[in-house]
Amino acid sequence: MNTEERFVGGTAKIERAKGVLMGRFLVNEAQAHAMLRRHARNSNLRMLDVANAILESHVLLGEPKP
Amino acid sequence: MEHRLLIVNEDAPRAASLREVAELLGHDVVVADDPPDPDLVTAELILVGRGSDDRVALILVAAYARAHQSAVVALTPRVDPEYAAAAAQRGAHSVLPRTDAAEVASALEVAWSGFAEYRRLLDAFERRAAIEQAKGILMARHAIGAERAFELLRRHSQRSNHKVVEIANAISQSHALLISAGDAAVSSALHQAAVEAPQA
Repeated sequence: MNTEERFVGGTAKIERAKGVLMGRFLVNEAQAHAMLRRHARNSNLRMLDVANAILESHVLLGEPKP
Repeated sequence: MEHRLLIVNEDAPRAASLREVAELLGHDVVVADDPPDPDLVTAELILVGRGSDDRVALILVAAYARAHQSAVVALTPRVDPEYAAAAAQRGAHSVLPRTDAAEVASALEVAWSGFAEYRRLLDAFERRAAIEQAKGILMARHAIGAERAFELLRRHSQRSNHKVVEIANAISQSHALLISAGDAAVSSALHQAAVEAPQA
């Protein structure tokens, strides 16, 4: 696996999920990162697992409250 | 290639002779009495002297390497594989044990090319991260998938004659300003369509 493939495998999805949070909650990158990390810790999941869950299901969640 | 060099934590006579050699090679050289803040350094290469305390020298090497602003060269008054390994482990791009012109030229070149390659990768990662975040923002706003989000980015890039990464950065920086009743209605309709799409 080269570095690009590794990035695509994990970091890319985490960055994309951060973007989903940024768009839904109108937060900045650091805040989105903190939300993701906090939720991962609290639910004993890896950040990548939380990111995947967000990416798979965010369209079902309706309008965020800005 | 000529570079801006900064020499820190080196005793005055050694710093002076190193400076002379580096200037003969065409570089711009500054010798700092006190090591500057790693985030404020503008030199392209930082040469860190070993000083009287290896721990202090290695902390400086690590701090300058971590700032990712410059290539870091660890200086040492004699060949010392153990110190060289410790410095490399902390991110030094090369180790320079002597001060004759050929040694200096090659250590600077090794450090610079290693750093430039690292910097190139880091920039590529940063561009990629910015694009992924912008895709995520579009996915959230339009209730769409990653591929469709990238398609929106790519099309807007072509239409506006801006690079995709520039569009991505603009979205990340400004999307919070763009929420409006119109957007909400469109987004809501798109969302409705996504929810009502037939199950595949």
